[in-house]
Amino acid sequence: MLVSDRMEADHTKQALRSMLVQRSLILGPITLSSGAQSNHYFDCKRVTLSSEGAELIGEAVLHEIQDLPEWPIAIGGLTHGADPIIGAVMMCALEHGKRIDGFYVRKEPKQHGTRSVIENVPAHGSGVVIVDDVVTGGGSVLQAVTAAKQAGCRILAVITIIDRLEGGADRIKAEVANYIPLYTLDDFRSDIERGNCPRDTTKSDPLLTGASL
Amino acid sequence: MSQRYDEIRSTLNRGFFVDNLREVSSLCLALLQEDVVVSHPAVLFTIATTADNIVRAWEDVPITAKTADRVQKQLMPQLQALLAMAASDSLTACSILDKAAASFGQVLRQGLDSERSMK
Repeated sequence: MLVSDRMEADHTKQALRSMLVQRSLILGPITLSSGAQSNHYFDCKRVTLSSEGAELIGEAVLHEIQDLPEWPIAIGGLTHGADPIIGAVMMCALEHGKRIDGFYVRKEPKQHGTRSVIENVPAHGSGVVIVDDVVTGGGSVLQAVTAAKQAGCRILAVITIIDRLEGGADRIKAEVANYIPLYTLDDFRSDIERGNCPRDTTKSDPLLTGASL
Repeated sequence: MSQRYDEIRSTLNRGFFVDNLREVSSLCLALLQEDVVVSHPAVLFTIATTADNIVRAWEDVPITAKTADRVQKQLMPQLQALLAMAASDSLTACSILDKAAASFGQVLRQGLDSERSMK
């Protein structure tokens, strides 16, 4: 990557980090899917489903893809967390004159019809990148990796927005050599410790208390 | 058969969180599909449906510990009562099912995934 490209990539990541703190980071006791309690939560859809956020994510992920030794045929992941990331990267690639297709992995096979697990499955042997928003235990990423491998894809890399540093990275690296989280929890620790975040469940957060915005 | 109910009971008792409720639903639906006589199939159906509804509401969204605790406190006793009624007569069973359904309705009114202000 050229120095100017690296500077642009750093600028994009800085802007994206700031948006994640403002919109996605939630403080306060949260019950996770695993039953564990956490004093923070990343609701990444508040960023991935915003115009500005989608543009930043598209650029940030694309910067990482450009550093891979092989350009992927497709980008995919487990629905729903991966869906907006896939769309953002596809559109961003096109703006840069590149092509990359998208696919998504269902959590369960279709109950009727084709019973397919992957929508828009890449051709057998395709090099693909798996994406996801937040990694905790790595289960969602690994479900997508397994489905893509079973479809005959070669996994070039896994790129995620945030790794919560709760063991998911080790599980992913056991399956995929190239694991790239754009950020880890360490990048947000100071914001969490200082309470430097507009969304706090211990205070009144209209998005969590059901009040109208 | 009682072993299967014990398995559902012990899984349920681990608490209300997405991964566990998905497991509870799966166990209930698996037993419901088997070619065995179950005294009150509505018990399994009700527990599976309740668990599935919570999973759909809680999946991929931030659920505060306060909301998770409230929903568990309101529904856990009802689901445990359902599992305990395997040998009950139909009238008693129907009454327990009604209580479970009414509790779920109350949870919906108060908010399944957040704290709604009650007027």
